[in-house]
Amino acid sequence: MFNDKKDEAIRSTNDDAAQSRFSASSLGYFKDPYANAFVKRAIKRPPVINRGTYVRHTILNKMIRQFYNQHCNSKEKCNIQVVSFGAGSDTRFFQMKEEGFEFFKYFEIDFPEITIKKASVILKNKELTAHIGKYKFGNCEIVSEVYNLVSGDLRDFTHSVAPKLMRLGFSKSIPTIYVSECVLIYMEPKYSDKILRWVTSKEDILEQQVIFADSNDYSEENVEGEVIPQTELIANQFSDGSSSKAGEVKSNGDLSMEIAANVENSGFQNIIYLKGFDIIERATNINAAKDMVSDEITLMASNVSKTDYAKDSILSKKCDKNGTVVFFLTFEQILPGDKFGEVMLQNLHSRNIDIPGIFAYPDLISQQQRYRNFNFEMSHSIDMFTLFKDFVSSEEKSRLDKIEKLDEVEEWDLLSKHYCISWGSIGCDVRLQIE
Amino acid sequence: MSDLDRQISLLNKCQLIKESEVKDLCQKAREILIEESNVQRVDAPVTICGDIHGQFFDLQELFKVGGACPDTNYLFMGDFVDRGFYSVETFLLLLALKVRYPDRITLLRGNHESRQITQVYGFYDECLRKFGSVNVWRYCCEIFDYLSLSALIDDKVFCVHGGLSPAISTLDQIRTIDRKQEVPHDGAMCDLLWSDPDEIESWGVSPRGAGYLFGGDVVSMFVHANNLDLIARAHQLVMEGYKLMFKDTLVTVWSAPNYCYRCGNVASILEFNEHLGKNYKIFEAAPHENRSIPAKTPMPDYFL
Repeated sequence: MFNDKKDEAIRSTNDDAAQSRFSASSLGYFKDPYANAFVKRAIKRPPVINRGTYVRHTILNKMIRQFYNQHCNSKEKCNIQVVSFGAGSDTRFFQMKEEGFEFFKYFEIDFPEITIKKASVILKNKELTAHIGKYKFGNCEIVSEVYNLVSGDLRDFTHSVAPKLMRLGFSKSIPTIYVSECVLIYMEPKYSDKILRWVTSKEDILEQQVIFADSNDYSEENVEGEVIPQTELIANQFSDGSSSKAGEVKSNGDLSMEIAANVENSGFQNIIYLKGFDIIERATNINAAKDMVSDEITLMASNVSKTDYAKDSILSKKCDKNGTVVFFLTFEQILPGDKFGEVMLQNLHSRNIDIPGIFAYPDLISQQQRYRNFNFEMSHSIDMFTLFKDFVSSEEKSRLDKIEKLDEVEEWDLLSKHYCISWGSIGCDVRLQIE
Repeated sequence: MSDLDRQISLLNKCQLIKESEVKDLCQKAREILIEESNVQRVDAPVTICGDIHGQFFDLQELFKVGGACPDTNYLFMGDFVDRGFYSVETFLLLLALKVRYPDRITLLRGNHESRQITQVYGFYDECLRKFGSVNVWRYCCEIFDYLSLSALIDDKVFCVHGGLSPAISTLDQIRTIDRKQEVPHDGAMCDLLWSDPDEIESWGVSPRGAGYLFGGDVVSMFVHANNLDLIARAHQLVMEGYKLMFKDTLVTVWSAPNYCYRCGNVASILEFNEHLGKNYKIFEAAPHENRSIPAKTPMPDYFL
């Protein structure tokens, strides 16, 4: 289906990114204590690349922290989830942990050829493993309570990657940051669009959950080696990670009769319909609640006989129900049509790298529109030239000048206008401020 | 065939000469350059060229378009090294031509002909990689210190790598600079190699962190004070190869096509005939098959 050589070339871009990050951080552009763990051979990058790496790194970090601070409800039991597409050897999780950030879940997804390498680096490094805590390693993946290094092909996201995330406790009902740094653009838009559609689609949540409800074999060992009973696992997949032992399908706008019927037919012992905190129907038959099924109805299903529907756990769910909070960030190339863009495509092609996504979203306007197409409420797109000019303070600029004189002014102008950071959001609005 | 001609023929094929030969070549070049003025007098006809930046095969294109040296007189306005893959071959070829035909070719110093800058932008690493030691880099840097700072064609066209300096209002002031040193961080010598023209009034702060921005009024005053027709300079990438400013009293000439193998620009040279009539010649990067780029050549950097 896919060209192995091309995939290998794309995977090799991970090494470039890691070396660039190491080059810039070792010179002092920004701090990344873990950058050196992921480079085999240090390569000195020219100042334009170091400056660009600085912009990419600091602006994305700043925005992610801004979102985090707006939406994290408690540090002890943090409700923030991160999904990093094509994470490669990114060190953001470890840096943020070091700074004291906690997460509900942190997923990094990449080709198995990449995750196996990353896992081997992490597992050999005491500082890195300390940030993960107890973990399970296998199939090129690291699974832990919070940090999950997941292997998969993003072109088959909805069928092969998304179900994995769900099984690992991903929940669309809590605030989620999605990051893609030069990743979606390597795919044909038909694949990357599916990811964006999945992120904002509520219908898919329900379908996914029903798929799980129908599935039989979920007994497996958890991190500590205990066998988790099937019923409880199903429950966890449905819940948002709270202590509820119940499986749940939230209506989120429209609880279709079909889905409800599916859940009922899948052999749950207890199915209830809730309106607010009130059980309005304890049903074994959907018809009993038929009249009441609406957007305010929550369906909960469980095989645990002594189910404790703790009110506070329901409360936290009801709060989130007001709206899924989504923040999606990309860092990508633009402007394929001018001279610099043409040469960029040729040069990448000569390394067997193609970026078909650039033609679907070739400029700032289409980058911004992309999010609107997939029902994001807000979206923005700013090129790297403007990010540096307007969103890096003059103090920072003079600090960078002291690190390295950037003589290649015209080249910076060209290069930096061909990259942009774009973001779309639902239920929040992240605005960029001057560093 | 003399040793020098043999070296030129090797370098013309983008092949290296021995470290000991580099040492001798630099010794000879020094004897020639030491005699040159900070404002070196040049007679028309002459063809002036901007930045080359180690793009050896594009320099060969330049000679194809402009004619071979010594059939054509050349004035190169600096930035021979850094960024491209062949800074060593490029600079040594130009230096060998200078030694062989001292009156046919003039080499000015660019801001990249500096110890500090070459350690950041590639020439130092290239010397180390190709010769296994930094001796060649050291010999070349010593020669950089002797390169002239500017040239004056038939008393009418002032040529310099970067531009003007607030510390300089006459050519005589340039003549008094003691140029035999590393490019300083500020002052007249630094400004000549680092400054850029801009659509501003008087002087402005340079985004490069060295030199100044200078406006049309500054150019107008300098041209009048020194009885010039034109200031020709290089230093700035121009997508169209050359760019005239300030009612054609200043021109930027850029001679590195597809700069850094990724900018997609064309390059130019400017021919002056014996009456100082101007003719711009545009050229593109050498066709790919003409370059023997080693298989391991890294791709120009992008963010991936």
